[in-house]
Amino acid sequence: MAVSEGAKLKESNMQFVVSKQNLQRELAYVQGVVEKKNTIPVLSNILIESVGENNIRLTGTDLDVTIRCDMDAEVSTAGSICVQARKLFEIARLLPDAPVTFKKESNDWVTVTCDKTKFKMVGVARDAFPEVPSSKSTPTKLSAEIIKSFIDKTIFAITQEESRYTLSGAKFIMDDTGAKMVTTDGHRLAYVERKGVSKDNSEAIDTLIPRKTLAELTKLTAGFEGEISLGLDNNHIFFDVGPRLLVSRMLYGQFPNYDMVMPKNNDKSVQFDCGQLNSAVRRVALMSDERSHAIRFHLEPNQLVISSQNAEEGEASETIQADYSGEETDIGFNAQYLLEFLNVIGEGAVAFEFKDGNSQAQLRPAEGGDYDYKYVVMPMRL
Amino acid sequence: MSKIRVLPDHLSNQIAAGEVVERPASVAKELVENAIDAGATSVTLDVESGGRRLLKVSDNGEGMVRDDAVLAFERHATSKISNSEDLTAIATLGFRGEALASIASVARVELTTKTEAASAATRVVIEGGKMRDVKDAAHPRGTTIAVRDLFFNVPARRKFLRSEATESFHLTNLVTHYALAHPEIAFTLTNSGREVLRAAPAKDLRERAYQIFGAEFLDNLLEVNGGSPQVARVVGFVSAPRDRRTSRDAQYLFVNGRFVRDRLIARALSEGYRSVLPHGVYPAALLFIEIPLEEVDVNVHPAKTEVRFRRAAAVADAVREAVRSALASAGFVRAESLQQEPTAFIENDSDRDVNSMSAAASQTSVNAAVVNPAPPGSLSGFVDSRADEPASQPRIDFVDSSFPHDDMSLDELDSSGADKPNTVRDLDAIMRQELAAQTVSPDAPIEIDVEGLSEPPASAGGSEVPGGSSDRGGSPTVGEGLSVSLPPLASADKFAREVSLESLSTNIRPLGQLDESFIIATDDEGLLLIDQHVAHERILFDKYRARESARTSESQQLLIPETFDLTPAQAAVFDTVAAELESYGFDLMRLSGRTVAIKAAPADLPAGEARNMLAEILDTVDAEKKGSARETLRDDIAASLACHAAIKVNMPLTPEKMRWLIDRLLKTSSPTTCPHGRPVILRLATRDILKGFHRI
Repeated sequence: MAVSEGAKLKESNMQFVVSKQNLQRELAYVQGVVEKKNTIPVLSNILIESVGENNIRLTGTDLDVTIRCDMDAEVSTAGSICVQARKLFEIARLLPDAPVTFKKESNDWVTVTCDKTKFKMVGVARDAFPEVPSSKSTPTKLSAEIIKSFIDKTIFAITQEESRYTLSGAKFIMDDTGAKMVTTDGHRLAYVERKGVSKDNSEAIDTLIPRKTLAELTKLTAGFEGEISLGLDNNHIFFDVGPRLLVSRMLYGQFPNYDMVMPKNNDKSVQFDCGQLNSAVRRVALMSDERSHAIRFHLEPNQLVISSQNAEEGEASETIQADYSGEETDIGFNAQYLLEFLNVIGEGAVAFEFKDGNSQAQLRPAEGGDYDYKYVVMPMRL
Repeated sequence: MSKIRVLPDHLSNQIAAGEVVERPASVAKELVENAIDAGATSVTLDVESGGRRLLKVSDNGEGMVRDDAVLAFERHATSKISNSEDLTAIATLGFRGEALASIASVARVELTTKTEAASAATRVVIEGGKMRDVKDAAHPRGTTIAVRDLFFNVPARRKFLRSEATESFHLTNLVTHYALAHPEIAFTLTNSGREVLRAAPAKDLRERAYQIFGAEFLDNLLEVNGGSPQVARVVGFVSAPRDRRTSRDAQYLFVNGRFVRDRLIARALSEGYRSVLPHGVYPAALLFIEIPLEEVDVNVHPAKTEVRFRRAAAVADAVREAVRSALASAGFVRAESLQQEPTAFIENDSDRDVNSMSAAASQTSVNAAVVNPAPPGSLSGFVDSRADEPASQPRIDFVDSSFPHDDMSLDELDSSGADKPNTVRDLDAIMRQELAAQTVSPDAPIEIDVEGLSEPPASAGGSEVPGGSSDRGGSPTVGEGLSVSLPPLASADKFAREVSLESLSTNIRPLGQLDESFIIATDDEGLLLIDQHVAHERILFDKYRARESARTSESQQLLIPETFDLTPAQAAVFDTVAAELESYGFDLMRLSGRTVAIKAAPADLPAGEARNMLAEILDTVDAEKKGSARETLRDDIAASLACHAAIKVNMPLTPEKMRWLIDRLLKTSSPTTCPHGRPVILRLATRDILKGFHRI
């Protein structure tokens, strides 16, 4: 007790001024990781510390993912405060556009003053806030745009089921040849690779990144141009995104052997316009069973017929002209699985490669581009 | 001439056999126990036709000399106890000396045995209790007993044997139990030439559990090690709470090395999981309870799966605490939470009481205030009764305050009946007061107070009541009652009954809603209250269930097949339901041993649920009633869909909607109970109303 009291005395009256706009922006990043379920009450707080005279550092964590943002501030008294993250964010959003002054009072209370508005917030002692993993060197560089694109192209195929631990994140590999990211939920698999992105001083990375981390990383990389620095320690992966740092616990376990499930002998192939296929699937899916989302692809020379039926509501079908000359084939799919991929591709031609109704089908953008992007879906038996 | 005679031995053995020998598994049990008691390190069972045609148990135990081998088939012949003191401290599995005699009386038995010292083995052949042959034979050290044609001479018994699959299932279970209880002994079970179970000598229980259940089961196990040697040592394993079973089948309980089915221990085990596992879900467990021999009586029933404890409560405590501390050390419960719980309960209860009381009190006083423009005194009462609510938003009450007035004539009541909404709201208000009254004083007499009833309603009416009455407690005036318990309004709760299906006519007329939650209606027999949520739930449940059973099972193939380790019992039923599983949408492939690869799963299951579903089906499916698991599951799905889709309470309904609900409800499979078993309709019969008003 004596120690913490001493610490309190030392920094009892931290004071700084920040701009409302900056505060709101940075809080938006940090409060995303702050735990909503409140298992450990102190985790619903955000830690604000002074760094020198012109910077403050905001830290939020749920112990799995930590985000730390540095921002400009006029620090008149060094120290730290720790207050409810959600509440502070709501306050910041509604404040008028004027400088915001923070001042720590006794008992860890914090007054927030902005123009004529004044809030007095309950705070907690800084010692109660958990130590976050200390920063580590981040020698590997990768452009923010690539990381963002990797995540966009794969995150949807991560399993939603928490019990399937090793599938609840993305496999991320970076070595001399390039970088790749793979995700799967056991029914389908998304694979993206980009060659020749690593620099000489990079360290090889082979890890499993949790879904939440990827989601937060997307937010951090949105609107950030330049390079992200990556690094690993025994348990964590670090992403340096300019003035912001994201630290995530890594997942451990055996990610499935994705090479093995990549189809090797898909002898039939056909191309569609992505937008056209997307709307057709979307329309037909309206009549699919609401839990299985089953639709049927019937391929015959020069056309694809997509159909669905539902004992309760009726049926639907749509025909798409296609340059197909193989034998007639029927394949069942979960419409949801197809749509999620087609939505990512957006427009352009999509190649659909398959063998029969029992083997994995592969979809990919017909024009390669910089990314080697493949999506493998297991058919449904109808 | 005397009628009573002593039964010949072979007949009394046959009768005794009824108790000991119920089915092939019980024969196997006796023989395996003998083998274990003989110090065998390897026990081998061969069965054919589920043990009906052949059941052979071979061991490498100490064997018997020829005299013993012959004597062994005499009733009450045993080597295991010799005086009644032994009976109070039974250390061997068998002791009654009845088993062999009983078995031999109902089957063709061939026993071959040899001791270490003997130069040749002895073969004894007995059929239906009659010794046929005794001669030398070749056999290594140990004993082999082959039991053929069980119940060949007792056709009535034979008829009661279940299908081969069922009997095999019981046999497999039995051997599993003994294999678990004796990790040091090698067990092999072969059924019609196919090896069902093979367990090499293991160094401990963990290794044995691995041999039998596979790695995955083991991963979910927590070690239990507790109790005290004076009362009961409890060691073994229990499952982590994430591993859930719908039956107690995966609970293996042993007392002093003897497999038992004991409700006391099973309950203590569940008790240990209280607040960690929901009701109706059971943990898996391998628990070995060591109790001082004199503290436990195994001589309760010849089958010996029942035991009695001298200090039952202490044993139960030991089990519960041991399980609890295993869970605690794995971080699933807090060590002290067991002590805390009861207090927490009490606090909660009292919390709720306070809340409901204050809510009720404020409710009543609001009504009082509305009914009567308040003099200053009542205002303070109003405030007081709400003092424990931090801040309140007073409501503008548009309700016409005319109803409970004494000056309202019957005519007016009738006329206001035409104006439906008003009636409903007024009724509403009465019922709410009624409710409040009951909540505040549950002890208040609910019998009809004849005096109170026959009094003119004036005294209960709002206009006569002094506004400040709610401040003054204790005085027995009627006016006082308004604020607290409303004595003149007798409760009709004892008359409201669940409605039987037969008494339900189609002539139901909705009148309005109570609390926007219950439909008030009349039928030929009286007044009906219909819970709108459960009524709709019942309608939807029938609809969804029909849809579920009509749906074709689509199957999502898996990108990466999953492997699944079956327990021996699951493996036993697997073959019988494999075809059926396929029709649900599973595509399964039996790999080596008891491993199954899941290649495709029902498309409506989330990917991770496939294995749980499979396990659940295999666990619940009895060889006799195939398909019930899926049906139960369908019902579960339908029930949960229905519950979520049904209209909720606090939802205003137009008369047309009430009409529709009632019409549809009457067409459902069971209009009077909801899928969860709650009543849908309560009736206040006209006859009871008449009684209540003392008109009859």
